[in-house]
Amino acid sequence: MAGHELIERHLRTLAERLPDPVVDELTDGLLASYDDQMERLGDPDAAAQAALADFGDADSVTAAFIRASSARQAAFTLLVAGPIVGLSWGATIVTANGWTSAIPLSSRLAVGVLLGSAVLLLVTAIRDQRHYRTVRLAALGGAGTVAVLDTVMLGTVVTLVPPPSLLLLVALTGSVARIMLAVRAIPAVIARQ
Amino acid sequence: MRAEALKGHLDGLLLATLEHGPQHGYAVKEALCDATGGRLDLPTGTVYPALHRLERAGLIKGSWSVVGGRRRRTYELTEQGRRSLAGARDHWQEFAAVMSAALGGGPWPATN
Repeated sequence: MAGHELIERHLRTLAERLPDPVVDELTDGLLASYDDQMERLGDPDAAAQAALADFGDADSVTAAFIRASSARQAAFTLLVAGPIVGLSWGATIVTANGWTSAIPLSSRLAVGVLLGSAVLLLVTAIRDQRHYRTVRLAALGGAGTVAVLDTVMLGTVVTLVPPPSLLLLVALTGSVARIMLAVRAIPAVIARQ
Repeated sequence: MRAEALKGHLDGLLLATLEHGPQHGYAVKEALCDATGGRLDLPTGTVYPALHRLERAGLIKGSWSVVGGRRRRTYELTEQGRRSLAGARDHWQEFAAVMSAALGGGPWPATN
């Protein structure tokens, strides 16, 4: 790679944070900018500093890629849908006196752990501005956990056959919609490396 | 001009730079800078995420080549991108006409 130590250091930082194809593309852009600055300024150090100033610092570039990523968008959508579906299930359980059902405590705890994990993973995917891979993995994990959680809720309804109600219908529709959202998001997040 | 001032218009500007043929990311940024006489000089590194977003939306299509020993990704408009650019131009003309009328210095109409 023809370039300058400053440029190479900048690219190494980006390579630690972003996927390889993205880094290849950024490398081409930064080196093209450096070549342009060399033509204008003639001095390697001045050209490298000008190219880097024009390019933007590693934090800004990484944050811009993360903001535009399908992983972060999927995590945001799922997190926003969470309270709506959660409130529907909560209202359904309260009105049907669900806490008196025969569901064992261990199963209830497992659902709680799944819910907590999903929220933690999705919040991580939305809040992290520096680690693209972390955002992607957290979004994938969050989407998978949400799909499992909603499937468990649907399975519970099928098993226990509670009395039908409008609230139950809303909760079931919300869970089905969220499973579809999660399942549709996963291939897009995987495909964008 | 700062990138924040372009909110809502950056996509149209990027699509316009690709209207006359394929370009790589740095060339897109330079074309924007040249077309505006240097007044619109975006940080190069932030042009790429916007291009990736446009590609994901199906408005542009990227392809790899090797130039001077470096891997280069070049983008071109899709049909959907051409339609989106035409829409962005119409929207801008309407917006500019409304703002020009409002800020033109003429008297404001009476409200009562």
